[in-house]
Amino acid sequence: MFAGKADTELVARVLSAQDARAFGELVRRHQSRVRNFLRKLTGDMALADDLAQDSFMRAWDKLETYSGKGTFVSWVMKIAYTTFLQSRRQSKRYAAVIEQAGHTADAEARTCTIHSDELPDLGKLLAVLNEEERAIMVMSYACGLSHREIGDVTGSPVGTVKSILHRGKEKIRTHFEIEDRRHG
Amino acid sequence: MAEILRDADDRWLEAAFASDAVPDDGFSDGIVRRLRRRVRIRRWSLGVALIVGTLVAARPVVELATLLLRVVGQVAGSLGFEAGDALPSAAMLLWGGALFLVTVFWLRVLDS
Repeated sequence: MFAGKADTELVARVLSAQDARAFGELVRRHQSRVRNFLRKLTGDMALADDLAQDSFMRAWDKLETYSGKGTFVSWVMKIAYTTFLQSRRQSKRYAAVIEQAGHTADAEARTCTIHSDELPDLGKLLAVLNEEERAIMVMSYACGLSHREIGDVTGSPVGTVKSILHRGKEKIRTHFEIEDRRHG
Repeated sequence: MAEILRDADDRWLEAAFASDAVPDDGFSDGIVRRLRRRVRIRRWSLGVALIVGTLVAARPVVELATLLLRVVGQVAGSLGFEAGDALPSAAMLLWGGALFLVTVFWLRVLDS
C-alpha cells in the first residue's frame, strides 16, 4: 500500500491523519538499521530490541519536530542513540550488561596479530573502543551513515566525527597489529 | 568526496562490521499495535474528560446564566422594556450550551 512512497510522504501522512499504518511502514523500512545499531552498542539483543521499540515510540511522539532537513533514518538514529544514553544512566539491567561486556573486553583486548585478509570477531574489535568511538564506528561501518549524518545523530561537527573515527581506527590497528597481506 | 575515497582499512572495517539485515519478525506490527492502543486511550480519555468537565461546569454555568438574565432583566426593566418577552430562558440557554458542547465534541471525534 505504501510501497514507492518516500519517507517524507509517509511522515506527512502520519502527521496529518495520525496514520499508524504509515508509521508502521517507516518502522518496517528502518528497523533493521536501528536494531543492528543498538545490538552492537549494547551487545544484548533483547535489551537492544526494547530500546529500539522505545525509540520508535518516541519518534511517533516527536514526529512533528522532524523538519525534513536530514534523512528520516538519521533522525530516528539520533532518537535511538539518545534513548541508549538515557537507558545507560537509568537502567540497572543495562549496567549489568555493560559490566559483563567490560569483563569480556578485559579478557579480549590483549594485543594480537591478525591478517588483513581475515575478519576478526566484532566483539573483540568493539572491546578496544570507548563508548563514543564504538557508537560512531558502528554508525559509519555497520549502518553506512555519512559523516554528516553521524554529526546530526551525535550533535558533533563533521570534523570531530572524522577525528573520532580516525582515533578508533588507530586503536584497532594498535591493538590488533594488522599484518598487511593485501599486496602479497 | 573524502568519504567515497575509502582506503583498504575502511573496506576491511566495513567487512568486519557487516551483519545480516535484522528480520522484522513482527517488530513493526508490535509497534503499530502499541500506537493504536495509545491513540484509542487518548481519544477515550479526551471524551471522558470533556463529559466530566461538562457535568462539573454545568451547575455553575446555569447559575451564572440565571444571574446574568436576572441582571439584564432588571436593567431592561429599569429602562422601561418588557424584558421577559424578548430574553431567552435559563433552560433554553442550558440546552443551547449543551448542544454546542456535544457538537464540538463530535466534530473533534470525526476530525481525529
